[in-house]
Amino acid sequence: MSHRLGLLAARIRGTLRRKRNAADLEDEFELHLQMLADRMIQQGMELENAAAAARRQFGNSTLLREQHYTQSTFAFLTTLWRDVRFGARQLQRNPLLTFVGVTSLALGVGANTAIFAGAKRVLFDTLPVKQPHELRMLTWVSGRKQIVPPVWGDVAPNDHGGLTSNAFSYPVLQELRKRADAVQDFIAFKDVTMTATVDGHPEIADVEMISGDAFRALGVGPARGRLLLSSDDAGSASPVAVISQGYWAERFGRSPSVLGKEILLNGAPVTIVGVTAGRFAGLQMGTAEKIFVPLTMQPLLMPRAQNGSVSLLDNPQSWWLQILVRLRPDVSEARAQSELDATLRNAAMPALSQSAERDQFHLKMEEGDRGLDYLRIIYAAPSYLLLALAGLILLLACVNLANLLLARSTSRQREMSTRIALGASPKSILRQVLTESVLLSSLGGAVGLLFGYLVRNAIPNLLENAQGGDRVHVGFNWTVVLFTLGISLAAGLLFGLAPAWQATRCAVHAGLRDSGSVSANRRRMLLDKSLVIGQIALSAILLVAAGLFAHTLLNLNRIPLGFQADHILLFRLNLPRARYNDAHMTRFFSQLQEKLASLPGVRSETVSSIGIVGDGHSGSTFRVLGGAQEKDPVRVQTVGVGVDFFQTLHIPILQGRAFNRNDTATSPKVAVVNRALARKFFPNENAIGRTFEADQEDVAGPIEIVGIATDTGYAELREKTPPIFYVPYVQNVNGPGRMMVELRTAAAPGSVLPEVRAAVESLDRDLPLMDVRTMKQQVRSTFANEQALAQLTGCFSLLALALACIGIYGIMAYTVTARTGEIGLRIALGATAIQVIGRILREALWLAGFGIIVGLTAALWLARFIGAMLYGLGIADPLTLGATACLLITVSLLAAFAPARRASHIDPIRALRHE
Amino acid sequence: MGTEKSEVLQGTLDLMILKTLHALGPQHGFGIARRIEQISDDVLTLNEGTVYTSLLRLQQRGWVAAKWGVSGNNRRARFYSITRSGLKQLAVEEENWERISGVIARVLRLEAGR
Repeated sequence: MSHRLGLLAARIRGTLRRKRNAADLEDEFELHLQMLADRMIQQGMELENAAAAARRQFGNSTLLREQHYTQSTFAFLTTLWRDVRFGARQLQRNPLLTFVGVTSLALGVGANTAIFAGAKRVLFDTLPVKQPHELRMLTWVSGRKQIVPPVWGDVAPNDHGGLTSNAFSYPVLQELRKRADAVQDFIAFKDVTMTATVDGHPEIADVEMISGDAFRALGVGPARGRLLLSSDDAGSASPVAVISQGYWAERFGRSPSVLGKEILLNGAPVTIVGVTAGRFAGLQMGTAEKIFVPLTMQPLLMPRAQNGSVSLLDNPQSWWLQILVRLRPDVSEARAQSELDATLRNAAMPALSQSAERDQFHLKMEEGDRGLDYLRIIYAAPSYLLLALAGLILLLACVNLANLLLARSTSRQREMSTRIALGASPKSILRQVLTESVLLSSLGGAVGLLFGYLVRNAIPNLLENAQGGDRVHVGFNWTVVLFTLGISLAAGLLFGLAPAWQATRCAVHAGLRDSGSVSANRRRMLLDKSLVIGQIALSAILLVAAGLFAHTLLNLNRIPLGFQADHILLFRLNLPRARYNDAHMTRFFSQLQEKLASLPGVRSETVSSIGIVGDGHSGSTFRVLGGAQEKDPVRVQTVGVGVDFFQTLHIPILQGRAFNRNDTATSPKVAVVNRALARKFFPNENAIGRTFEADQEDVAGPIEIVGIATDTGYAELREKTPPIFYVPYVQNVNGPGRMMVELRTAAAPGSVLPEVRAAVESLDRDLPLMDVRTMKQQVRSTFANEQALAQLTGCFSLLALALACIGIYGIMAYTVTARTGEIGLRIALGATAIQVIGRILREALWLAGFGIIVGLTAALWLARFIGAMLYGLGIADPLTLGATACLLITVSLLAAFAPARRASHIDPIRALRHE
Repeated sequence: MGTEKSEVLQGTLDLMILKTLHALGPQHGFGIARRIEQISDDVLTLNEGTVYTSLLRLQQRGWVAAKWGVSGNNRRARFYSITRSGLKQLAVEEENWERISGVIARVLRLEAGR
């Protein structure tokens, strides 16, 4: 190593002192020659012969000097520098080419950079904690049709017909803690949203309830104050909270006085005792602003009424916690698994109804390096798709540049020939040409990096599902910069290859004579034409993608909603159970409804337990009374609504009646069902007047069906309307804690917002309006992904089209120039302008046709991967394919028209003389 | 052109120069060339300029040091001398050479015996 360093130092010295060294060497050579000559004269040689003989014996001094130079300095760097300077001059001389090249590359590189940065964030980043790969997320898997404990959180069906979830009860956590010897650390947490009132201003905040020693186990330290400790789990008279850096910056402007500050969480005062260091913002991917409170504060902050108690800490029936574990390093995963599995089954006993089924209940460990990860689920498919599309754009930009550079290399043939004639080796020509293209790509890459940085948040914002409040912040770090550097260099080499190959192949004599040989030209044309065909094919792929998504969006927009979406303002209210009991809640909403109804500009108002579309599902069992006994209770969807729900949303009642003021908490229970439900359960009979039972905790007692409403969109618009029954929310067992308020307005929905805010504030100062939006926005949010994809692919394909245009124009212009003689001859022999134009256009048509066939074939093959993202059309959508072909042919003809017209104006005399 | 041949020659020239400097003490390029010519008995024909390329290489590796001085006929000349690490290298190379030439000699005897 020191040896190499020494050599490097010698070279650096040599480079710095190269002038002096050269002079010294000259002195030595001269002395040597002199002494040799002197000696020869002494041996009897004649004076004039001696000098020549000395030089002969000494050898080729020029070669020696050059060897000396390359050996003592960084000669290759000097050469590189020379090439770069020369390349820069070339770029300067062709400002148009440079502009087009840099711009198209910058767009390609920028799109890739932005998408890569976003994709890295949502797909590959891990939690910013100590050794994230050691973490395991605990989940459980139930057997087929096994009755599982009620979960507050995510449950999903698994492959075996059972359910799987990552939610555990607090007693189970404690049991696992006590018994599991294989686990080093347990990190239990629950992500919720609460109303945080800071300085009298209420707003919705992301809160993570987390076990006290979690910060130590995760290796997260404090930036200010202290973090939560195991002792905080014990609970104390003065509740404490810790906030993340992001929340500190956003809400408190990094003020140091935040320590000791008291804020209200769901109305309960807590004291901020610390700020986390670094990027850690909870165990869910993709959030930055977070408040941490001890898990044991659940009864105080988020009381949940169940079994007569609001605390979940001693309730084995409520499963709600997520658990990350760090295994002891000396324990195998399999041993830990079996140990935890056994403990879980014992601990879960009270919650599992039948002990016979206990053996079907299993614990499973999953990767925990991304904690609770919704990002990947939501964004994986669009991210991969966008990466692929951006890759295509970059490829297209490369092909386009290769084409442009090839065209220019024709004009530089003479230069290359001169160089070769003067002794440049193929290697040095190659190096020169590649240096130029890499220089161009570096420029493009630099601009692209800037461009990518500016639009880095655009894609997550576009994709952002309007339901999620938190925004994905895309960071730029050295990985992204390296990625950009890599793709820029790769692009430079890629598009530089064709012209470089061309340059080294150009024969000396060909360039120095006036025009190239016919065969060389033919080969040239073939290369050029295949590049243009490639461009058209790539454009076709992008156009098909854009077309498919645009058509999907069109189809989604055409889905009948079943209600009138215009002029409706929506917002959500979440009454904290810490301050409201059931009776208070009901009273609050009846007062609010009265106030809202009397507002000028509000035509009618209603509330519903969930938003009618794009607000998730809400299920209940459904058992028809008086009919044949069903074996299994069937689950349908249910919405608790206000009296004027159907009138406000303009949902037509097909049969029977809507709700009215006589349907109160104490009157007989009634329901309106949708047509899908009526058809499913009462296929050939009248549903009106029939009674059914729902979940006991939703509505107690038999419910009579009094009306049938039309089917409306529900949750996801792409799904068929499920069976739904609507009940007056006042007849629900639980009070209306979390409700969506719907207002039909006379003017624009936003116009009544100030009055609405004032009305809410007059009832409760600490209640924030959540998710304020219009119904149209709400509907659109259900296909935000499709909209974003349609917009992005649309932009991409426009870019592709522009690039293809340049390519076709370039090749046709070149064809016309190269065939001036031939065309002149044709005109001289009587060809009309129309014939000449037709000939050129026909050629362009051939290229376009060939490219379209290649592109559509490839697109059809590739479209399989996005089949699942489409709606209402197959991947071989004739409209899209036809439109793509037509568009490309039209654009090709337009691009070829200018050169064709020029060809028809060729003066035969001059053309023939030129030949 | 046989690159292998020049490679071998290059290596041997380095060795010869190191040995010369070791035997004769500080020398200028001309002196080194004379000595090699003398020893080789005109068997080796040397482009004397290559001595300087070799000397540069040896200097860069730190095996040879150079100092400006005055030659016999009162002219400014650069004198080269072997360094301490050069001496070590010389020992290593001498041993290498012995071994390789021994092997080659054996191979050649084998050929002759067949």
